[in-house]
Amino acid sequence: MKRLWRALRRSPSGIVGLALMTLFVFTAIAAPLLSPMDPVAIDLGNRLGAPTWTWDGPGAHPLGADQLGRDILSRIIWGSRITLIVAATAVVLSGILGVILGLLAGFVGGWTERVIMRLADVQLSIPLMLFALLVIGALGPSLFNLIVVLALTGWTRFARIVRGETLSLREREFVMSVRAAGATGFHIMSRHILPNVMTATIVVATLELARVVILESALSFLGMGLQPPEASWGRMLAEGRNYIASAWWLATFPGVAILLVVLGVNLFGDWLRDYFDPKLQDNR
Amino acid sequence: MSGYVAGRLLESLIAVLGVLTIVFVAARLTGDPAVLLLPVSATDADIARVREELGLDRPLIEQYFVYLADALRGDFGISFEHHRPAMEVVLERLPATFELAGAALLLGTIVGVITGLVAALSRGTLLELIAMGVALLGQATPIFWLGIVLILIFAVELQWLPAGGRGGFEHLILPAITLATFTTASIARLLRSSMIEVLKEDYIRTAWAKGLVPHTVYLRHAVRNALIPVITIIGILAGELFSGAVVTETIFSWPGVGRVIVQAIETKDFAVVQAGVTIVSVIFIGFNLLVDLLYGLIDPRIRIAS
Repeated sequence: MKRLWRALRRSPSGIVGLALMTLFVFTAIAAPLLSPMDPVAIDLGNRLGAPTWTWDGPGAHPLGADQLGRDILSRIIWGSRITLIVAATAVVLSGILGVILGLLAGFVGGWTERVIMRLADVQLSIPLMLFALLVIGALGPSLFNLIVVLALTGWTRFARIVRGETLSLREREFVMSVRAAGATGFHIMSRHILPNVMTATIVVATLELARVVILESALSFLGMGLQPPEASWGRMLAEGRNYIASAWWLATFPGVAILLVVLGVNLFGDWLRDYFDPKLQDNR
Repeated sequence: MSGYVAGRLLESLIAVLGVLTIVFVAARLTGDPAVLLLPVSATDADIARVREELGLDRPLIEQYFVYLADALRGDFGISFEHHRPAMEVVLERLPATFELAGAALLLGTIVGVITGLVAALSRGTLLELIAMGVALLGQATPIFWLGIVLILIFAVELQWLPAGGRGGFEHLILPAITLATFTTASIARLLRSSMIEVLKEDYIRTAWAKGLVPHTVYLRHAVRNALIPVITIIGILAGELFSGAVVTETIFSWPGVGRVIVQAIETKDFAVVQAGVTIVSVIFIGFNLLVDLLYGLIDPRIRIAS
């Protein structure tokens, strides 16, 4: 851990990434303390009120108010919670699914491997967004369905990396020796292989987080995510789009929030990947 | 080589079958089509009659094979909204999506390759920092937001370009830039790192030692090899393009397949959703097959390995 920190201090982009990520997580956790106003409080007197610091100001809202007079800054702060909850849950779920399937594919081999990897190929044959639309179209839009879809779209990357690592670990001496000592397949997978694929898994998880944040906000933007009045960044953008000519702040600031989070996660993820294993580069 | 081609062809066929199966499962998850079709006032007898007409009373496995047979003939049922075969509705939107995705791929490749090369050849300078900073931002920018910002600047404020719709060349500019951003950034970053790797190779040192001019070393020897990893991700990028097209088409009211699918979900016109997802996926699979075969031709290592 200490070595990790020392290496990180030498990488400005890694530091920036970690700082942005920390800010994001902190905002999400401390939302009730940070938020200056109630994010769903409607104040029609302040409809489309301009940000305090612009020429059109001075208004009461630091980043302006939306079409119902709700404070945009507060909505962004509360929206970070939804983004974090959805993205983190989806990545954890797809990680668990992907790691289990990847371990099985790599360790058991044979038909199990062929079926799992073919399943991954099929899944990747449908462009992500279309797969998400197909499933949300069938199940209907809701927070739960959104998480399910995002988790389903992500497992393949985990499974592929974990399978690759498992294949090479399987032939190593320490695995051979516990196997010779009579350990069961489950014991070897959970005790000896799993800990060794965790590093790769964490790297993939970080990079996945960025992709999921974008996909989540894109789906919310299309109206396939969380339903109003809850503040979600993608949803705020979609609503702000209708007022683009008269009130630019509605759509601009949620977009900046998404950009900063994704940028931070990408920077940190790239650094983490290069630090642990440049081979993991999946050419994105 | 023929073994490699046959293998890839078989894989693609399995993928198409897999896509059709996923679409079938999704269709069954949607709920009872008979109930969706009929008004709320319908009696149980009405529902039973429609179920029989649609073949929903038969065993699931039989329904699956009937569906497959229909799907292979391009029959995904009738669109409730358009009162025409769903496939027809999707197919007439395809040219618009091709136009947009093609323009974005072209733009992204050209700008991405130039940016990546400039960055690789100006290592350690401010120029590299700027080029890669922009690429990083490009990869992190949500394209639906970028589209809105572009509309705000170029359509609303400056009024240089139309805000949406399909028409002449000027209609294509903003959506193409929006959709191309991710492709551009990905290609630029990948080409830069691959070019830096290639420039360390022995054959490049040999080329310099032979006294070749920089022009020849870079273009003839380095770029050609540095482009190989870029070609391998073109398939992945195509998937991102199709995904991004859904969003881009929605922002710019571009009459493509993505937009028609989103509208169909809103109106619960599932036949169109299923036909649309299938068609785009089949095109995507075909495109990836093509890229892999081309890759086999370009890189002899692939041919021999197979």
